[in-house]
Amino acid sequence: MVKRQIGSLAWFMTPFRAWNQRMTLALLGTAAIALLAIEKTNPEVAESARGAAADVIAPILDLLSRPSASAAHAIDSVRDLGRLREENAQLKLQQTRLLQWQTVAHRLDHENQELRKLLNLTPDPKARFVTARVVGGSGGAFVRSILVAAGSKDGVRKNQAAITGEGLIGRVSEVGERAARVLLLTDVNSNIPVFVERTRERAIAHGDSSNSMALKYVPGDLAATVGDRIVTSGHGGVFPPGLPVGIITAVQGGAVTVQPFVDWEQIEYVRLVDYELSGLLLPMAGQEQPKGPR
Amino acid sequence: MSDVLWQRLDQIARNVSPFAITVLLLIIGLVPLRLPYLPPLSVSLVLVSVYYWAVHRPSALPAPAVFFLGLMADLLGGGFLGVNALVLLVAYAGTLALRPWLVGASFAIVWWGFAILSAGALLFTWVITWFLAGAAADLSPGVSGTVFAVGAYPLLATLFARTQRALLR
Repeated sequence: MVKRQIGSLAWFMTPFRAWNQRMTLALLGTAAIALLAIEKTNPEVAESARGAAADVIAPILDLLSRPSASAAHAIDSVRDLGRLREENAQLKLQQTRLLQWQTVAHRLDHENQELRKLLNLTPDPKARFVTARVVGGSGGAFVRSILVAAGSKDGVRKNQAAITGEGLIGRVSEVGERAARVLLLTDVNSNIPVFVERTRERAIAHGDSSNSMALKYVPGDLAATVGDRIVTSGHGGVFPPGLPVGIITAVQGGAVTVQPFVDWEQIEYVRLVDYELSGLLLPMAGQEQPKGPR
Repeated sequence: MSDVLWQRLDQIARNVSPFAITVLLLIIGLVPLRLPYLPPLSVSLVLVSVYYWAVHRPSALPAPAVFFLGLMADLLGGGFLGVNALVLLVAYAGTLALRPWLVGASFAIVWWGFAILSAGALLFTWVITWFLAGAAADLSPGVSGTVFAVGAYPLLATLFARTQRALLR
């Protein structure tokens, strides 16, 4: 080990280097705190920055995610081969049941149209949708979001509902030109107005970064029990009522746990749906509630 | 003249290699692998790199590079802007402060040091997220990501040590 001689330039400069390093760290720390302050006070600036970053990273992630998707498909194919016969029998049974349901649905649809005519009811707005491939996941430990390869050029807009065949998975939170980020139901910033399908009790489904959600603002004398389906209530006007969200898996005192219908590990494509509703959305943390017309 | 230019370019490429490898880890961590029970890993992998270089060669990954990595993680990973920039900087500064005890220590001690630092970084992130979101997040996915990063440390440290030997003089 080389010892620095007293009086040498290196010996003289050492305290200055240490001071310089501490100053750099302090300045950068202040810059990071300033970014946090921007996020808290001016979230739309942070949103547009993330939207622009999504545009840059999406093509790279799209390229990188293809081999992993192929590998996942190959693993699934091998796994499925083993249970082909069993699955076939189940599907036949399911098809018979679904055909019965189809008959019921046709009858109810016809009846519904007739009743709507009688009541002179305004029809629901038509939904438009964009199907997008999932190219990226979350970065941090407490973030639950996905990046999809479709943006404003493809007709994606902020607050559109993101759904899969199983139900609602979240909403579009940031939009770039060619990519968008979907805030999942389980993110700590996600608050979705829902109701219990059977009992029509209203609540807010709140994410906590785990794979499940909690129901907030439930009535004191809650009639819902384990196994009840949770669907969107349509309050707030962002999502239409009736989109499947999840199923109640535990009720302990006032705490209700909901397991989303979606299998988070299997999401490859999502449908971003514009229901053309222009209502209010529960604000994210730090954002002010939008003001309604006076 | 041409030789000098190539030498300079070669030196620049060698100097930025720790940063470039860390960016690569950050991006790989964002690829959806569709594996069950796999938590978000991007920032945990970056933390391994920040810790390794802060202990073994801080000049290879200086504070501005750490800040920029945190900012990239915030912008690309979808979290609150500034959270990872602050957490990675604090982790870097903490490691530098403990560097005199970590340099020359056995691999097991350095590994333990990383485990403690990861746990601290996770708790710090959790507190900031609580403050910004106004609601407490579940700690368990973060804990499993930290355990994964601590488990991956020997492998990644070996990769960084080889990079250090091969590219940095």
